[in-house]
Amino acid sequence: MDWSAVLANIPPKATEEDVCTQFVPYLLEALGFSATERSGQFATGAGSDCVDFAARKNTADDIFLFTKSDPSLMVEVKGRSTNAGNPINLAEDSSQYGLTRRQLKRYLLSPRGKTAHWGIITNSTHIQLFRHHDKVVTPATSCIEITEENVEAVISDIKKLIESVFRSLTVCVYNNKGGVGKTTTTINLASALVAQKKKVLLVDFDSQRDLTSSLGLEPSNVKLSECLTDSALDIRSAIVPFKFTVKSDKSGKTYHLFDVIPADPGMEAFTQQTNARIQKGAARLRDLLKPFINEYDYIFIDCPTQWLFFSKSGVYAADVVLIPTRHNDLSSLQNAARVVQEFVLKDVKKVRQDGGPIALPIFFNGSPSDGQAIDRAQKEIEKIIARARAVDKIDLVPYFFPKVRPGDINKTVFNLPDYAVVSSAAFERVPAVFKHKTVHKYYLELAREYFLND
Amino acid sequence: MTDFDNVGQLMCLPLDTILPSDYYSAPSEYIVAAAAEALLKTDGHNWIPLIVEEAEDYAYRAITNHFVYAVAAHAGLEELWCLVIKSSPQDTEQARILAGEFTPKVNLTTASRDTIKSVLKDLVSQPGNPLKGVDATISASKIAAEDRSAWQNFTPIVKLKCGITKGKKLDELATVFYLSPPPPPPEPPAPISIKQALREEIFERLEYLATHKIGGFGTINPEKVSDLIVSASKSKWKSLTPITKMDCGIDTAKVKTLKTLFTL
Repeated sequence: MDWSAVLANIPPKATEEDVCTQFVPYLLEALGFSATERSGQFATGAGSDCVDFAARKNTADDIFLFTKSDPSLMVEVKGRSTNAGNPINLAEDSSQYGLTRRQLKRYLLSPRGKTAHWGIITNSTHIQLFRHHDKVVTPATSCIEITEENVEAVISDIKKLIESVFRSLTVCVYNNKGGVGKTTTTINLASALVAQKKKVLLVDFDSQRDLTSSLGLEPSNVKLSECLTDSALDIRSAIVPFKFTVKSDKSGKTYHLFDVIPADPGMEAFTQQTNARIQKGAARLRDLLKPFINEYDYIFIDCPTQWLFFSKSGVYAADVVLIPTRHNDLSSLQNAARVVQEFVLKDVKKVRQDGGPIALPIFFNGSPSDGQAIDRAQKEIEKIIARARAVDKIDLVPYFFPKVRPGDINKTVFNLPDYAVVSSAAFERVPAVFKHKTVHKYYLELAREYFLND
Repeated sequence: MTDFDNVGQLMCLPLDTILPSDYYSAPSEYIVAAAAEALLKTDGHNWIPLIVEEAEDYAYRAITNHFVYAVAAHAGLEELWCLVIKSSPQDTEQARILAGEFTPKVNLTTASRDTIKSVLKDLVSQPGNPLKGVDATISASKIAAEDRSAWQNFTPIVKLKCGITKGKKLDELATVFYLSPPPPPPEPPAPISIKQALREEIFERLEYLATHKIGGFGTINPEKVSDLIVSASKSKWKSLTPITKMDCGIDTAKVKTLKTLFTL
């Protein structure tokens, strides 16, 4: 494809229509979708919503252009400028970028977007690929400025990505403040997803081994700490299945619920000698978990507090970071802001260079749904948001009040109600979700809020 | 250098993940063998690290301190302590220079007289060096006195008649010196009739010559000369020679250069 000619033919003030006719067909062709494998103005099934383009490879008896079923890719197009000639900036952090990204997410979550694993936003000046997993849409590349020099490489990289399969979403449950229920959240959220027939792997990446011990597990012969330093070991051998026997079932049937890579005592004894053998430092865990991205629907990483090796590894390995907080613990809210601003956006996203990870909006763990305490927490959050806006020029609203929309100041924060049995269940080595219907309902709601798109 | 890579860190790496040098030749085998013995006596922990860069994920390339690799391989070690450095031509070159693997070249475009003298003295004193017999002090003074800012190669040194002649002697200089001349000047403005040109057109051309120090114009003042040329009565000019009488620093030699940009 002569990209120089394609780019040269796009007017500097190209409208959305220009980009749709003079750039996107070439882009889709280069991504491997022929003329019968793509469709413009694709109805998403949500009201009259239409995404600009959808595409899918044809099968022997299914021509996408005719059936328009099960798209694998959606493309939301913008112009280089509006019809009135005002420039449209699609660079990351511009307001237009945020709107377009939200628009694409809406389409991907629509009834006919469920099968689309990939989404692209572009105005022919910028392009970004997103990955769609259940209810989560995460960047798969950074937002890249297209130039004559890089266009071929950029599109070839996108092609490679969309031709591969990523079954799993890796979630790091993290707050820099302790006592917010990270481990309990990890175990019960995973259990709620298992109950929805999702295949789940839990990684206990905390040298305190709370997750491992609360499930009554022991590491296998191959240990996680050894896999970090010895690349000859097979991480698959470190997996221990978590099985659950239903007491009421007289046959004593045992169910395999999820898999766990337990923490081991070797993680406690990390010395300079150990660190010197962990190649790629805190980026090592991400590589270590790569064999599982097509094996599981969800991989959860439980990390300790303190922004050190274990937490850095967990966040670096993640597609998304889930941040539990306590409505009555101001420090947990302030630390949630720190996780978003400093750790996710500044430290890790900059190094990863692939647009990820992203922080999901916070939730209150163990809180009432309303009342004075919630009002007080909302006021504190407003102060945190105002400070971040004034000092760091960062908009934290989507991370704390995700339901706020233009003209709608809905400051609801998702809350997971307090329930005494949740903490006591740990003594029984059984996730509370499998012991109590109410707890199951609560965690299923949490799973639906963030992950399930049913 | 982040927590997500090993740059700047001392790492204990498996020997089979390191690609050794393809140019290093170890000293006599007995030295390597004796060094390997010394290494094994201290539990095989090499205190002088091999310097490596990350070639790709989990694969490294030896940059310098190659003796360490040769010894470790001889000793049959499976792991080697290495310092991982940034992977860029400048960084790897710097590491090799600091390890004494080779001598860095000196920038002759900006070098001081003392530096030039010191380099030449070093060369002259080497047995069998082609520059033997050259007077380092005189040559350095002559070279230092020249405006070297636009030198594209070392040949102007030949004209200084300091004993450094074209051929082996001049070539030898290239092993220790390099030049960093400014990029070649952009395309000159098109020639224009000096009688009809506007002041800004004359200024544009004179400034081009002055900025890029062409034909000795580096010393003339384009503002002043433009004013003089514009205000002169030029109708009877049959050549550009009258400019030489304006006492503005333009002599007959410079008129030759002027002719490339001005016609009558």
